[in-house]
Amino acid sequence: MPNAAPTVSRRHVLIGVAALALGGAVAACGSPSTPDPAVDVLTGQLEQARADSTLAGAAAASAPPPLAAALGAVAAIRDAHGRALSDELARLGSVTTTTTTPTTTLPAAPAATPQQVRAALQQSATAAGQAAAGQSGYRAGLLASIAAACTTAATVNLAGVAA
Amino acid sequence: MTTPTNPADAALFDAVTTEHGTIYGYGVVSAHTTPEVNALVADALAVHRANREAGIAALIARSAPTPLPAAGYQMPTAMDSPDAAAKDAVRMEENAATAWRAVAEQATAGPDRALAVRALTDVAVLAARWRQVTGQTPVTAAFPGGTE
Repeated sequence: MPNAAPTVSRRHVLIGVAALALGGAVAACGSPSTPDPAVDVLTGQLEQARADSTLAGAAAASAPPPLAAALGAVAAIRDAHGRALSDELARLGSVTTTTTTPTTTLPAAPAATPQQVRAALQQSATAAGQAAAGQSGYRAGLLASIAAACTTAATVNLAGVAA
Repeated sequence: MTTPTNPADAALFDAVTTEHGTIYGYGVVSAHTTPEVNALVADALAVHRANREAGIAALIARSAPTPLPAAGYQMPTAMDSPDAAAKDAVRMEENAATAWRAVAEQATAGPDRALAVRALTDVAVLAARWRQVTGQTPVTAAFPGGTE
């Protein structure tokens, strides 16, 4: 008995593979059109953390030793916040730039004062707290911790700095 | 008294339970610390009482069970010196931070998260003030209540 082999030609197989690839590409195109709104929130928080760290570092450079150490600690805290936010953005599939403000612009900028750092931290605490209320799960917890750390840095680390 | 099954209510229930223990613990801390930190002990008690009441109010508002304080609590250490008492105060604040961060993560409503942010901020500030007393560094935790 002759074998009724299925007549699937090589050409048909190739067409099928091409169709599958096209379908996959179309499906992949659908995802970037609906970005996670958390990306914008976290990106804003990341920029604020980096700005605070730069500001505190600049203020530390011209402050007397005890205050310089406190400002250095503040810069380290905000730097850690930046890294955690960057990690969370990476988990969300968003690529963030690792470069901060170009150093060439720093000499032209006016020297930062401890008062400016304290005010910036208080603004950051408020912004992170509001952002936490609008997020959920890990992101809400992370932003809540960032808000708490900013208030603590402003009121305990920089307790001696007049408001 | 059973913990609520809903994760948001359970986290709040646990935070109130932690606050009950912290308020009890500050009585012991107060017995051992030096007069120089009396104001800090008083501030801490007022803050923890306020956060406990806010947590209880949030649970009652949605008819969830509220935890009662226990008859007694095991202290983290023997607390046999002013320094040991201050270090236990740091530990209690860190435990409270963990509990309130859990509330922030488990909450399903904005007002509960806002409550968690306020309470977490309160206990992070107290922890930092106690670390200044004990000389522990860094004074401020970058992620109070978190493991980052």
